[in-house]
Amino acid sequence: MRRGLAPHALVALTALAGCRVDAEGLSPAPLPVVSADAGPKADAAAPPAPVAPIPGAVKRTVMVRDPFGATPGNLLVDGDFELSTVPHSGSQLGWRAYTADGSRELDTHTETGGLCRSGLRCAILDPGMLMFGRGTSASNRGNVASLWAKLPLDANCTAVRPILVTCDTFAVGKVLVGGKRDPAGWCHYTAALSQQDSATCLYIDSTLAPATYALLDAAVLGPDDGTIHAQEAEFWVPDASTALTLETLRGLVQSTMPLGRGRAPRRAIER
Amino acid sequence: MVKLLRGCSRWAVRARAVRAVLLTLASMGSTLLASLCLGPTARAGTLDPLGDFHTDAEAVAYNGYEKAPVRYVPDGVDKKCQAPMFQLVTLPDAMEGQSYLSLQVIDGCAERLPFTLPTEQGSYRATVWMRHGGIAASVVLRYGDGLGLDALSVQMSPTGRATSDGWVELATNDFPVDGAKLSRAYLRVVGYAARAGVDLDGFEVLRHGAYSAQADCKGLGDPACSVEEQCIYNRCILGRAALPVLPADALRDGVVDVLEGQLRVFYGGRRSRSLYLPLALAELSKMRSEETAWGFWSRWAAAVHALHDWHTDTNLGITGFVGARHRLNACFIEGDADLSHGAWPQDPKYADLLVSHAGPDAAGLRAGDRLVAVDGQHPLAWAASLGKVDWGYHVATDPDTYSDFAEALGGPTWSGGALILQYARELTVLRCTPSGACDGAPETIQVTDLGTGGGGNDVACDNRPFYHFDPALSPDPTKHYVFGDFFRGAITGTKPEEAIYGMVWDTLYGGGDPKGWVNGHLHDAIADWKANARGVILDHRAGNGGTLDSATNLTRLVRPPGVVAVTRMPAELGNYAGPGDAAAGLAVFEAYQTVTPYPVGDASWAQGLPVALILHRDGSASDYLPFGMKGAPSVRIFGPHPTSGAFSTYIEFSSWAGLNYQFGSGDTIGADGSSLLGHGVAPDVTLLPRQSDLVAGKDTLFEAALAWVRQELKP
Repeated sequence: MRRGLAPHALVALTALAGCRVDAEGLSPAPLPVVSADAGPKADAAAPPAPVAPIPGAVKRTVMVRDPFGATPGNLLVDGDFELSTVPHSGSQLGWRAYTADGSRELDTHTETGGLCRSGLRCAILDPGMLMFGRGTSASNRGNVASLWAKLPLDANCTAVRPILVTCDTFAVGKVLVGGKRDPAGWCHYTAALSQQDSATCLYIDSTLAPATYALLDAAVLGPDDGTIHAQEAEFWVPDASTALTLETLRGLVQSTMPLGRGRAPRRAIER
Repeated sequence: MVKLLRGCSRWAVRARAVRAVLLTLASMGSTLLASLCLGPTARAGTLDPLGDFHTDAEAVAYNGYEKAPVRYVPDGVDKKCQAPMFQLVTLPDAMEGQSYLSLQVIDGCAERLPFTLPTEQGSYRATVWMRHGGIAASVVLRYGDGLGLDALSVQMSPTGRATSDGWVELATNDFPVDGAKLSRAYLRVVGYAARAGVDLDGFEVLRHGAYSAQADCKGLGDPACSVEEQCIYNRCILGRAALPVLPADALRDGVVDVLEGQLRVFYGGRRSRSLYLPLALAELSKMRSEETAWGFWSRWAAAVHALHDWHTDTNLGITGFVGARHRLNACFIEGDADLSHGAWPQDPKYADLLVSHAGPDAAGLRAGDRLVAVDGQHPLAWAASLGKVDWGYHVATDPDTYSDFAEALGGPTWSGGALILQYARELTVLRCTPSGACDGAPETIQVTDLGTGGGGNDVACDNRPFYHFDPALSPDPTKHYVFGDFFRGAITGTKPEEAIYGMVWDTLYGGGDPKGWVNGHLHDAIADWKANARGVILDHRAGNGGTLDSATNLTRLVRPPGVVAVTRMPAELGNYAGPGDAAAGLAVFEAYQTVTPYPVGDASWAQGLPVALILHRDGSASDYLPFGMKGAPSVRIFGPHPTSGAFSTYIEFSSWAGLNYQFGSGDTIGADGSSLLGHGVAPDVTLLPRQSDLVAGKDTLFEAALAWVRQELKP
């Protein structure tokens, strides 16, 4: 199995992720610049969001967004978090959430509309929660990965840690490196990964402070065509605690992998 | 620009808003207009340039939730659902006005918010805005009793319009209403996946489209139904009511691109990608030119069904509140109609169809009677042809296995079957006389002539004509409800000293819990048989699969430890079918037998104990089970044909408006390097249930299994 750690030329992530940009942001109207705690619903623990209208100012802008995600050919099952929102956990969806020790699945929460970076939905990462994104690997070439996260204003981008792992073994492939926040407050994480012969998944943990949360969105895993470059990945080996969590979660994911049919309701009706 | 504005009718009635927009457009350009005017999906209220929402002056029903809305709580609703499950929130970030609803709907409940419509026949479209989490929202229309009108549930889905502060616009497709006969109309909402609550605001109903009356019909293709309708249960079903809206022009190709990309990257394994994926992609490409929601999403469903995979389903039905008006309380099974080939010849491709068992209201059909045609075709050919119309279409991955169709022809509507009741005009049968003569004249029965009564139990279809334990230990033969249960005991008619035991069960869902319901039962059964049995008959004729651990567990009875295959699933590489030949497959097996093995056997297996496994319609983990048992020293597998060949897992997708779907992903590589997906496990003894046996009250496969076990009894 080839699983190189060397820095790598990154793919056409921009091309992949950007091909719907026009459809995502049709409104050029500027958002009001307000502090996160200025409005009546502002929450200092939440990612900064333009939710606080100022009388006489633009209250909100309208946009058109794709309900199915923005990246055709994404090697993540649901990179845009559009197709993983369900009332109850347990389905083999593109994104699943787990407890911090990886021993139990949790229900996921999502945000909507323009609060998200792309599409109509994005995931909420709570403190002590793990997210597992199902993916595959590029065939006969390396991979590049990208994720956006919006954290509370007082949190550093490193408080969210996306890690590329081999889906079968949970062997760590690469930690995505986060840069500075963009003007809208989103941190961008990227990494390149050498050619794989098994599927690649995205494991996300965090050191978010209690009672805060982060938004996750616009994750892309794509084949490396060398057109752009990922940020340098740090040399990183999981500590004992993380290694144990990875192994626990691997066992849970593998042992509950469904090999059956979700048949129509099997309810007996006494007539 | 002005010309463009005329395209948005709502602007014409709001001069103030138009003036404001013109001023704004001068600096913003036409892209904003494009975002505000989405064509056919944007017939609701408008957002002015400051972001304030204004209802459409022509709305026939509207609620901005400026005060707590009236609720509708149906009689008999669960107590936990009776108190209001929302709060009225007054904050400046309301989508419209000053207030909105924050929903906190209790699990298993729904909020129902009534509205009124004009007392005339009309066609409408509803919109509403939501924010945070997920929502299942629909407009429900109910009519008075005795009027002959079906209730209609109309799903709401995103138009694509969203706002910077998180609001998302949902809309229905057009829905017809006979207002004079309407007893109740309401918005039904269930919120979930939000940290605090799901916000709701700005509900509007506008006239849109042309009214069409409800109608009866007789089977698929009945011209009584319009092109937007489908005849199901003898009613013209308005398909678009259950479906998302047609994606806006700006988004349509993008939606198809994403759906197509999902299949190209993740779908299937070697055989299914080769045989079926091109057909599905061809169907998907036709979505791009569809101009209605019904046309667009019907193409999508047809594409999913063209994937021809046991794990692949749209998981979406379009019948809504419409149920069967008739009853065909019988189950059909592939068999050998040895008593009636003179009256109706055998088909060269498909097995004969026999009545396995029946309850009351089965058109007088009894075990052994033969179903020779549905709408003039062989019943299996007819069922196989439904891929473009049956939203619940279910098929084996192995192209030569048809038992899923046979099982779904009859049975109760609540079990996912009842294909004849749903889609057929008529069925043709050959009845057997009490004396056992089955070669009389064929009889054609109109579905509309079938009984309508209740009474007695619905029989489920489990491909087991009879049970063979003490009645106290068996499934109830008037129901055949095996489902997730286990039944086991000594085989009736055997001698105590023969010690022949058996088990009837359909689930292998161990879920990784070695002491759970399934694995606990298997563990106890194996311990019992090891200690007490001289022969075992495992009856798994409706194997619904589950998880690999349970298949492994049962093989511990019959063979020493080993690895018989490795799983490569979901798709390990994108756009990749798997190893190209046996040598490459062998290399994969060698590389992964310690990583993702299918382990079988146990060092303390029951040597010398004969174990017969009876199969009929089995898939996924119920494919792995016979694969893991086949070839073991004292195992013999009895069945009419190979299993489903569903050697993979699947991935699931949950979109809006109940559009939840799944498809098979990955493959399994055998120890000889072969790709297993799409290749069902062939029985050791291939045997079809005989008509002569059914008429005589005999279970052909079971009799053969028992005879073999008796020959091989453990000393």
